[in-house]
Amino acid sequence: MADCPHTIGVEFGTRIIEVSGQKIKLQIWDTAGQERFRAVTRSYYRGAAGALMVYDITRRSTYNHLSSWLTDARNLTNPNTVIILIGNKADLEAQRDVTYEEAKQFAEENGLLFLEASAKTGENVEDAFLEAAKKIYQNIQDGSLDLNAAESGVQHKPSAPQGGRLTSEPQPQREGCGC
Amino acid sequence: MEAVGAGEEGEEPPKEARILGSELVESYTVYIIQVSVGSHQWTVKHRYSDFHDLHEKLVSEKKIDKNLLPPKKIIGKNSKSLVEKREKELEVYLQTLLVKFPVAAPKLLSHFLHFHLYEINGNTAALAEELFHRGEQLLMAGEVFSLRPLQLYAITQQLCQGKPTCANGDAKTDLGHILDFTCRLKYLKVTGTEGPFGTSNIQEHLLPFDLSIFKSLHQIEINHCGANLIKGLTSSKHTLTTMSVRFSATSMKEILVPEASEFDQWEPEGALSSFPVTAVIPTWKTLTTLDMSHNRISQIDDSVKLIPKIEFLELSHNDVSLVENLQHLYNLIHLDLSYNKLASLEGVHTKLGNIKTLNLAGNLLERLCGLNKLYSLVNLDLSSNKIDQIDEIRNIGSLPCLEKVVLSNNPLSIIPDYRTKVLAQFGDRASEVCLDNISTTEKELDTVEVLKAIQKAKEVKYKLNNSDKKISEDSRLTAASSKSNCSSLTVHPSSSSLPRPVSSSQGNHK
Ligand SMILES: Nc1nc2c(ncn2[C@@H]2O[C@H](COP(=O)(O)OP(=O)(O)OP(=O)(O)O)[C@@H](O)[C@H]2O)c(=O)[nH]1
Ligand SMILES: [Mg+2]
Repeated sequence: MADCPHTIGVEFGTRIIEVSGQKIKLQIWDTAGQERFRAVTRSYYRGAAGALMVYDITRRSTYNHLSSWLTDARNLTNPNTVIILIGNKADLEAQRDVTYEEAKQFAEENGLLFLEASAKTGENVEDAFLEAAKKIYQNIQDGSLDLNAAESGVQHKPSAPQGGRLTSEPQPQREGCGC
Repeated sequence: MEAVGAGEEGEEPPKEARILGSELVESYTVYIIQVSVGSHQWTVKHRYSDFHDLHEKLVSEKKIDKNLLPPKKIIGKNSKSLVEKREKELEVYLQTLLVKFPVAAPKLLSHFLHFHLYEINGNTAALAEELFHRGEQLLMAGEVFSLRPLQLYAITQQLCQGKPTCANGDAKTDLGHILDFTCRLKYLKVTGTEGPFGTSNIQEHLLPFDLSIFKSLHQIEINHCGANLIKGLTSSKHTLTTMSVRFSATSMKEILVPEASEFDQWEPEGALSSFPVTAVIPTWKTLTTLDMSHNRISQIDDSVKLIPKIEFLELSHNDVSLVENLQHLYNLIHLDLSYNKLASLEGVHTKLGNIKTLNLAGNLLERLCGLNKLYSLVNLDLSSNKIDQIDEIRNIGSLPCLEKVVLSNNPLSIIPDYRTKVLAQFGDRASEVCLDNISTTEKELDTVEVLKAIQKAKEVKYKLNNSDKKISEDSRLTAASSKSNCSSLTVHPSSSSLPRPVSSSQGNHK
């Protein structure tokens, strides 16, 4: 992880997790955060069942950009898309520039789930995806997410694990990261 | 990946369908449709009844106006005037449909116009759907999966233009199903066509594509593509064990170090370099087999430094004229350089330490000096060269592990008693060497014995004649390794002086 390059366009990965005894396959699209890719990455919101919006707790500027990312996400997804806010780099407590409480409040005001995590230590990373999947699953169970709608982002596969899809939205980074 | 032009996003290349004419096939009129998307075009042929079927389904599934299609006729179906009128009407019909679905045609229309074969969205949608249904099964079976360059081009375009991952609204056709599959696929084959693909004007070897969507490849085979247009192959650097690139490349470098186009000075990682370099390139750590036969490679360039684990190297049917740089391949045991332009083998033993199989068929070789120190050699193919002197065989006569030699189709193979004369050059090992894949008969061996005896007598005579000139026994070594005029190797070492191997696998000289 030490010197990972910027994501160009989009990267893709999958993960199978279990929610309430159900195997769920997450298709994860990691979109580029740099402004110049914004036009490209916008197309990945459509058909996403969930989105992870990540900012850097040690850089306030990334937090300040959240509302513009949220606007995009809200405009381009369906109303049931689960959006989770993640404050990343929780391992760098000493350099913290955004308090937990402040972000938590922002999340509540905007109807987002919220977690602080660290990609470096792995703390809460699994949980972030699990939380998203749980919430999506719940939406299916209570009928607020229609599986048959193409834009639901969720597909049922009788034999194989269910295909679900989450769009992971990295933090906005206008000024580029220091790697 | 390519930087994305700002204006490209969302802009679809114009799609058109024109009826070029019609033909009569078994008393049915078949309409010839030319479809074009941007600069790509292809033809599709359909009867009126095909249009009718399509239309019925579109009416029920996509709420297309029922009256859009010109009506059925019972009488005079094939009359010239009706056919001409219909050509025009059907063209209008197709154009109207294309306008109605500007981004992605529904599956029915896509298949009718062969978008699933030739057009970007249709292509990926069809592949995604196939993989949605069969992907897991295919991965479990662990078989080779084939993709066309055009399909890879389509996926690449979708990703870098930021097209919607599911444009036609059917979630089964989502691009994610392709990427989910490609992430995990182990065995891939990409084969293009030599000329235009199918009924189209698409030249697959001119299509760029990006292979970085593959993360687990163990084997890849690429045929009839443009090697210089392939990106992202290096993302499989740490998993690939076997790679084959044929009918596609003009150099080894463009496949092994595509980075070289950016950095003119590079070193493989781990190399101790005395001067500063601009790039340190990771090696292909797991690659043991590389087949780059049937390309237009003229040189074994220094990019082979990046494939230190190679055991099998196939370079047949290229334009290589010199054996060089192979000293970097410590593990090389099988080398195929057949059908190249090799005219000389001087000093190859300094390049090929542990080689066991060497195929040099179809080159321009007259002289075999240079082979005399390839002590580990077991199989040697020298067929279809220009060897005309039996004496040349002496160069390989003392190789202790040699078991199979092919010399057919050389000028010397028409010499009377060619087989026995050649076999006699192997001295005591004559009975262990198989020539031209034909096992040696008892009768032949008897003749060989006689020939050997004559030869020995000659040598004794020769030595006596030269004893004044003080040529010592050992000078044969200097003669063998002297670079100049090595074909005049006059003193033949008696083969009994060399230790005979217990088994051929012993030939592992480090
Ligand atoms: N200490 C610490 N560093 C992290 C953590 N997560 C990421 N980093 C570092 O932050 C830098 C940027 O991380 P990336 O994952 O590339 O950021 P990104 O949001 O994907 O950036 P784009 O690909 O341009 O969108 C890298 O140097 C990472 O090593 C974390 O949890 N803790
Ligand atoms: Mg990234």
